Amino acid sequence: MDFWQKVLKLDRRWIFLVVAIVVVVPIIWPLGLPVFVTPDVRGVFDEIEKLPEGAPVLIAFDYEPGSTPECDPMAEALLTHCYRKNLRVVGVTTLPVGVGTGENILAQVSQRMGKERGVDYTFLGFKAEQSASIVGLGLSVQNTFQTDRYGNDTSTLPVLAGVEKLADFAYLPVVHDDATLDNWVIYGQQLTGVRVGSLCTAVMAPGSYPFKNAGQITGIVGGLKGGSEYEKLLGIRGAASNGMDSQAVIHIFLIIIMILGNVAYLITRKR
Amino acid sequence: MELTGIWVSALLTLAIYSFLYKDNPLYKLAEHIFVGVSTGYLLVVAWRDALYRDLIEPLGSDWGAGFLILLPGFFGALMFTRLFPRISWVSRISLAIFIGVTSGYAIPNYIQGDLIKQTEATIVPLYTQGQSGTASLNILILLVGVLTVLIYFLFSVKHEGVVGRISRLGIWYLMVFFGAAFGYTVMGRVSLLIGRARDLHEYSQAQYGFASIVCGVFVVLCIVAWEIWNRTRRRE
Repeated sequence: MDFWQKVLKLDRRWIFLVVAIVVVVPIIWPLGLPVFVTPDVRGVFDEIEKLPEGAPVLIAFDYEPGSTPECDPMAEALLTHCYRKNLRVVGVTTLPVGVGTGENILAQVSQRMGKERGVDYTFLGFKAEQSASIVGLGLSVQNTFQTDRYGNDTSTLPVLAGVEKLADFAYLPVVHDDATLDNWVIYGQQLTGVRVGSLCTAVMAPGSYPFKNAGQITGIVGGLKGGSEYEKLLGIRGAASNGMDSQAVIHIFLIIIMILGNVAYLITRKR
Repeated sequence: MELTGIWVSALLTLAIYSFLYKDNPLYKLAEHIFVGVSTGYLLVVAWRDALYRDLIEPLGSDWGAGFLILLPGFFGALMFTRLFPRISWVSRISLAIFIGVTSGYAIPNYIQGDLIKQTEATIVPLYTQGQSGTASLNILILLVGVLTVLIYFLFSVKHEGVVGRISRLGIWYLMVFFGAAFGYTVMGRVSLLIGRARDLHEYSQAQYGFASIVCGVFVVLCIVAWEIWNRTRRRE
């Protein structure tokens, strides 16, 4: 068996082992690779940046625990930005599993930045039937969520002062790992005019671009790369930026083995 | 409590990754735990955040508004008749209401937001004053892509001659899209691996009792023991 045949017959477990090494080494010894900001991420950042102090922002935490390595860094960067600007943050989710993930990251960042629940932020929780809840929020936030997740009356919460319906929110960033953005755009942005941004896993990013092209969303923060760009705009080096070292190295490795595999296939096929 | 959670997290992560070597009992155990815990969690959230919060609690506080909540609650309860074959037909009433209402507000809004708005986005001038050449090229590429892919999906006309050549270009556009989507997918999966690797690296520190290292050694020993047991069994 010659070299090219060995390449084609290589046990995939050797590739898994090399991938593991390639991922772990930059975590232990960071490379500090540069991050370049794209206009798509700027579209979300600039929307938050131009908001006045005290403006209410509704953040939809529509992702499951399995997506936290990608979505948590983005959500953390977004929340840090909102709190730096002293915006009022209201969290909500249209997924049952979003309750844990959303509440967790919201509480973590709010505590770190010294924000008070009920005054600076709150979490409305989960409401069944995604499209109906968004339509309901569009008509009345207080009727859809009479209480927040902690049992407080939403009609008297200081963080929701002046907010009666979805259109009263200054911005609606959706942190998602599935197609919930479609519902937020169709029933939220289209029916009420609220401005929407997408912070999504890399798998969902291709599905967000048609909305960006049509002007239905302001920007896209896609995957760990998008999160690292947002962190760069904030001037911090967080989980997303540190993860990009491993991401870059492993992508180079994957490109090399894909080229190697295809060359091996073409050469052995010719014989 | 947090330390226990970290040890459990490290052990289950490494048990799941042990599948990369071979399907084994430790992986199966972790998988079953995952399925069970996810189902239990969803049940609790469905009860606490939907049924109790939207049905039971409002009924307990205000019986006057009760009828408005009882009616949808009743139709929701009828859905459970699907579990009993003799009376499962009753659930069709609830399903009909649900499908009717959701279709009613979904169809016009999706036509407006997904079809008309997207079509609007392709009807843009190829050149406007002050626009860069790159932007014009992007608009042209977008327009050609939309038309050729739509023609590719037109199966009422045979794909030969001019139509055949145009749909071949549509296929090339689709291949580029699939390649880009696959690239994004690979990036996404790698990001998840990086996230877990970062957590395992953190949990290997002394403050967490070297959790990742101890759990890693334990998983390896379990697999070695299982392999030895398998080989002994095969020899017998």
